[in-house]
Amino acid sequence: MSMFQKPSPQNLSEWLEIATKKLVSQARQRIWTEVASHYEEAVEAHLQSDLPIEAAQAAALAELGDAKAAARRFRRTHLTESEFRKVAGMLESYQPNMLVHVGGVYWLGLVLDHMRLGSTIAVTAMVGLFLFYETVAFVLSRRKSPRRVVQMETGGWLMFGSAYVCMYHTLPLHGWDGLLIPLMYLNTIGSILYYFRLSHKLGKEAGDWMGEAGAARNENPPKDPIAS
Amino acid sequence: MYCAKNMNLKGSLTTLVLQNLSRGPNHGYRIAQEIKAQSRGVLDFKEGTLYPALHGLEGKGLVSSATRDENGRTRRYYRLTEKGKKALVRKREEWLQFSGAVRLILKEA
Repeated sequence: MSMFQKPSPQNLSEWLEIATKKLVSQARQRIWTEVASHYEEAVEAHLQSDLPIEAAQAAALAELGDAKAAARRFRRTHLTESEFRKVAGMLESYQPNMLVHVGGVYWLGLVLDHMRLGSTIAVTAMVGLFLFYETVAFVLSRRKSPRRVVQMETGGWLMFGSAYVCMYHTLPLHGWDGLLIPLMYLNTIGSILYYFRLSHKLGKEAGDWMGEAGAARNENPPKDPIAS
Repeated sequence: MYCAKNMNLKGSLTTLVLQNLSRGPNHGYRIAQEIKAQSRGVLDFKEGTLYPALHGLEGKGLVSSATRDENGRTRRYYRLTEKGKKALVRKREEWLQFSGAVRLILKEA
């Protein structure tokens, strides 16, 4: 084993600790309950086939497989703590990248004016679009619809990010200033991918992971899965 | 006996889970055991991969889940939704088409 490689988990708690690392607490709790129940059943089954308790536990743990691989897969489905804080913050008060947007509109106005492209109409349209976008996003955040808010953010980055990139291309940038363009590309593409992935993760069950919104949804207990 | 441990079951695991749930609600441990038993031990996947797959299916609205206490143990039962039933029909057709094509080629060899 390499000196940089961590030893494999020796018991279920260690396995679960690795598999649920960085995940939001609601998701961690659900995974712990579900996998612990699975593990207990597997240990019981091995005990019934006359294995001693240590061997039964080791076999059940081995059957779960690589905890790090499970962690990677869980992170594709569940929100991490940082993602949760991000979305909760957006729902609480919709102000993501507000300064960036305002700055972008201002710069676009300067560029259009510099290019003498009928700036009054163009800037008015841009500001109108900006206000419309922010208003819709604000209303959605008030309605506690996390997925829609994140989708709006994805759309916002597509729209404003593309505008920024076009705008910076028109600026007379030279030397080190020229680095601004690839950085803007990276920032725009990275943000679009981040929010797209986040909205995909939130899925239809977003309420379950979003505290208050989830609690409201779960006021009615779920139906008995067997009886119904 | 040949074992498909190292084969990439990532794509087909979801189809196998949906197929299992088409027979009625089921919980994770039993889903894993039934898939292994039905494949006569050939599809011996790591059980830790089952839960991310189930949670992913739930996120897409293909299955729904609810907890139930049984013999002092809390189990989460999964159930196929209408959307899940449609997805299963589509995935089954795709898989049969794919496996048929591979079989045709291998038969020639």
